[in-house]
Amino acid sequence: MSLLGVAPLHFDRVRLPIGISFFTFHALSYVIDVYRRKWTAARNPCDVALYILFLSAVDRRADPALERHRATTRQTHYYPRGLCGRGPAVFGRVGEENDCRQCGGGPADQIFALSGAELTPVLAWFGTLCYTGADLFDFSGYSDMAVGLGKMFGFQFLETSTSRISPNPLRSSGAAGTSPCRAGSGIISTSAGRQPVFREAELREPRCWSSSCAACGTARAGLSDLGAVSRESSWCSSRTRFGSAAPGAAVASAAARLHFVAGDGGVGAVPGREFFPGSGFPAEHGRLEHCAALGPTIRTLCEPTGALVNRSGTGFFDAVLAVGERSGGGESDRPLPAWLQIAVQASGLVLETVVLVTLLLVSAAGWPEALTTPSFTSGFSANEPPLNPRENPRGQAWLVTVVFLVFDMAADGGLGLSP
Amino acid sequence: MVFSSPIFLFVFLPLVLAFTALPGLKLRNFLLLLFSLLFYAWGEVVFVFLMLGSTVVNYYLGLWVDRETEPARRRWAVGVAVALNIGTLAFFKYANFAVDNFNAV
Repeated sequence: MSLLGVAPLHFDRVRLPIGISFFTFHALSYVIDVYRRKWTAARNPCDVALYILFLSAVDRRADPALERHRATTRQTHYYPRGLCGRGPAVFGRVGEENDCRQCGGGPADQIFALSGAELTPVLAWFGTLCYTGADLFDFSGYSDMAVGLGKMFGFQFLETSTSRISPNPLRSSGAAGTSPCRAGSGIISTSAGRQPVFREAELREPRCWSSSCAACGTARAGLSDLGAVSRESSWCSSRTRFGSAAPGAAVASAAARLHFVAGDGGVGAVPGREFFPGSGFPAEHGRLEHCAALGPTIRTLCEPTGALVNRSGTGFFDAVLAVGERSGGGESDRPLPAWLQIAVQASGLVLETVVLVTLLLVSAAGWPEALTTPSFTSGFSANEPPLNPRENPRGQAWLVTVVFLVFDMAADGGLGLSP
Repeated sequence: MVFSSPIFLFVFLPLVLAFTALPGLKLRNFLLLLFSLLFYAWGEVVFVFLMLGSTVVNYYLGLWVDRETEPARRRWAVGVAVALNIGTLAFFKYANFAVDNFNAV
């Protein structure tokens, strides 16, 4: 440019705000979810602010989507936490202060800084391993911390990668391999013929329901909307959950089941507006095509039972829970035996601990002589631990271990910290 | 503040938990928000205002998207939201890089 006679630009360096990627995308997720009608725009700016800023990116890795895709959190526990690849689904490195990285990042950086002459194959592989470990614990560690922290305050954060194994509403409703309109598919068939219990509230839009039945012929095409409908219904649960921490717990678990029931065939999805009066559920969600999307199930419910309304006064959530229990939730929701769950969790925890402690010890306690070169050890002497705790890898490492495990257990509800 | 720092673990977290566990607290979410801001401000006071500004902007963008009923207008609104947010992000991430390259050339 100087050749062209253009003076160099003078420009104060822009500092990178910590976590800007996080809260930018988080804010975007809010607007985009409004656009997709997963929820309506919050009237209270504080709600938005808390959604975007909760503990300032408490969750730098996972998506605090407030459980909107997931029916229950049970599936989480089938896998060793932290090792099931939940972290890698989320990118976005934040700041330079990721302590978890130090577990393996320190040695990795040192090894990668070596010149080609100094680098032995063993060392190179070891560095790669360390880097892998650093990444794993970076992502996974923060995810666990975030989930655990969220639970402490009564929020359930969505775990990105586990959401992929949640039951697919379309697949489960079509699993029978029959016409969706045929009686016996959907919820009724799995509830072993028992009559579902519903309250009158669900039928406050008779036009909507009856037209769904009539629209059964078009229902198959409308099925593609089922996913959207179930998401909209879970908007209610997210609203409930996010709006109130402690008292929301019972409601939230029930609402989670509501979502499941909705996902499994749609009952209770569309009339969400009726169930949550004043919640601002957008009117257009009650439109006919959405109801038509629920046609098959509604029809199945209409035909074999003949009566949807039970005026016995059973609470809505009781009713939904009852159906949810009976329907069994499809194959992917079947809980493992308790002992197996505990065993899997424990093995995951042990495995994590072993890997973590190994990496920490290796990085903190110095190196096996065979692996080291003089230039390599110079910056990282175990004989003279630095006094500054931030530079004391060993102390830092153990602290990180303890924190990691505590939050990991909290995330599992193992400490009873969740309300 | 970092999650694994002693100040967070032994001061901040217990304090927040204690405050938000108060029974009958109406402003629980607001309190959590204040603590969240404090948490962020611990390291960077200036950028708290950036975050708050972003929040306010997105709050109104959300209302706008919600209010529009016509699909085309909704898409337009959400497009503005994406452009604004990504623009901000791009500025902070790549302004230095761009200027450096410009000057280098």
